[in-house]
Amino acid sequence: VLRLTRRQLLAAAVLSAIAAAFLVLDLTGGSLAEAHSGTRGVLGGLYRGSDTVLGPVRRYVQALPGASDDSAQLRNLQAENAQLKSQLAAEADDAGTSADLAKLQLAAGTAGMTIVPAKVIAFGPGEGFDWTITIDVGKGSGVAVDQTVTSAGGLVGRVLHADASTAVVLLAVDPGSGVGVRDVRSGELALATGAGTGGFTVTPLSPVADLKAGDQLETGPAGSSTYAAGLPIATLSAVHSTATGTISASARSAITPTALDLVGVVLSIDSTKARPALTPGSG
Amino acid sequence: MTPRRVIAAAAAVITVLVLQAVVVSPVAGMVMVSLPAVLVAALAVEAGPSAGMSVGFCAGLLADLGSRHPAGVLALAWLLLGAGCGMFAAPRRRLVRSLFITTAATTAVSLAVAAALAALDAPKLSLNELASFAVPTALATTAIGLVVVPSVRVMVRALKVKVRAPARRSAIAPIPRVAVDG
Repeated sequence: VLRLTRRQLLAAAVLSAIAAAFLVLDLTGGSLAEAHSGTRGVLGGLYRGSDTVLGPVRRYVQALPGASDDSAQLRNLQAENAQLKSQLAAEADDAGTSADLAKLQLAAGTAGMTIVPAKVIAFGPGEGFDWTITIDVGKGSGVAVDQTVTSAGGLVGRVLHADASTAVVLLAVDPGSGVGVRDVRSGELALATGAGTGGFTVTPLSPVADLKAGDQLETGPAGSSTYAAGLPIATLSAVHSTATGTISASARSAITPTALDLVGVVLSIDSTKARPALTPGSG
Repeated sequence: MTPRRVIAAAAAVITVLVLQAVVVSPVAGMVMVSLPAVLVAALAVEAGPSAGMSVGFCAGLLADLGSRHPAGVLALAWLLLGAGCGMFAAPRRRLVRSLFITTAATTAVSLAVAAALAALDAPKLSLNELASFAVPTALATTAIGLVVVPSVRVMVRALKVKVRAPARRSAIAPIPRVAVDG
C-alpha cells in the first residue's frame, strides 16, 4: 500500500475544506443557486445533444426486460438482427409516445390547460436516482420555473430550472416535497409528502378525515398550491391511525418515475373560460 | 500535469457524467450505481492518488452542481475515493485485482453517499434498506468496472503516466552503530 506524500495529504486537506465550504454554503442559503443553475444549463445542453445518439440505446435497453417476458416476441427478436431489433424498439416506443400524447391532449382539453409536450432526456448525473429528470423543452417553448409537469398517468412534478432548450423537473415523490391533495371520494384535503420509492405519506388536514385504502387523490384545491389542480397523483394503499387518534396514510404514486418518457409542462390554465350556468332541473 | 493529460481527464469526466445521466441512471433505476465514481476509482488504482483525487474532486463538484442535493457531497466522497484507491496503485498490477479494488471501494462509497444524501432528506434510509441495495449495487458496479477498468488502463498507458512503486523494507539490514571507546 502506498503512503500519501506530504504534498498529497496537504492537497487532500485543502480540497476537503473546499468541498465542506460548498456544503455549508449550499445548506445554509441559496448563495450557490446561480452555480447550480449554470451547471444544469450546460449539462442540459450536453444531454440534449447526446440524447439523439444515446436515447435509442437507452430505450432499447429499458425495453429488454419486457421483451424477455413475452416468449413469442422473444422468438421474433432472436430471429432478427441487431439493427432490426433496434428499429422494433424504436417503433414500439413511438406507439407508446403517441398514446401518451393523446391522453395528454385529452387532459389538456378537459381542464382547459395549455400543455407543451416534452421528452425525458436525462436523469441525475451523480449516482443512482436523483428524483429529478431533464426534459427537452425550455424557456424557448414558454417553460418557466415552478410550472406543473404532468404525464398521461398523472402529476410528475414541477420545473426546478429552465434554460433555453432544456429544463430540470423535481419529481413530486422527491423526499421532502409536499403537494396539496384532495381525496376524490370524500373531498377531504390533505398534504402528500414525497417518500421516494414508497410513493407518498398523506396527512389529512382534518384529524377525523374519511380516508379509505383505494381512494384516488388528485392535486388541489385550485389556486392554493404551486401545482395545477385536478391532476391524478396517487392511490391510497393503507390508512394508519395512531394512539393519539391522528390519521395518516400511505399512497402509491400514479406514475413510475423510472419509466417516464413523454411528459407535458402546463404552461397556463384558462380559468376565465365562460361556464354554463346551472339552473333548476338542468340536470 | 501536462495539458494533454488535463484535456484527457476533462473529456473523460464530461463523457461519464453525460453517460450516467442519459443511459446509466435511467436504466439502473433505484440501484445506486455511479459510472463517474467507477472512473475515479479505476483512475486512482491505475495512475495513483494525485490523479484520483483531482479527477474525483472535479467530477464530484460538477455532478453536485448539476444535481438537486447540496454541492460538496459527491466532491468530498469521490475525493476520498480517489485518495483511498490511489493508495493501492502499483505498476503492472493484475487487471482482476484492479477490478476488485475498484468495485469494492466504489460500492462502499456509493452506499455511504446514498446514506448521507438520505440523511439530508426527510425520510432516512434504514440499515435494512441500505443492505438491500448493497448486492445490486456491487453487481452493477462490477459490470461497469469490466468495461471502465481496462479502458482506463489503456488510457493511462497511452498518456505514459508513471505510478511510483510502494516503499518496501530494504533487504540489507542497517549497519548497527557501535560505540568506540577511546
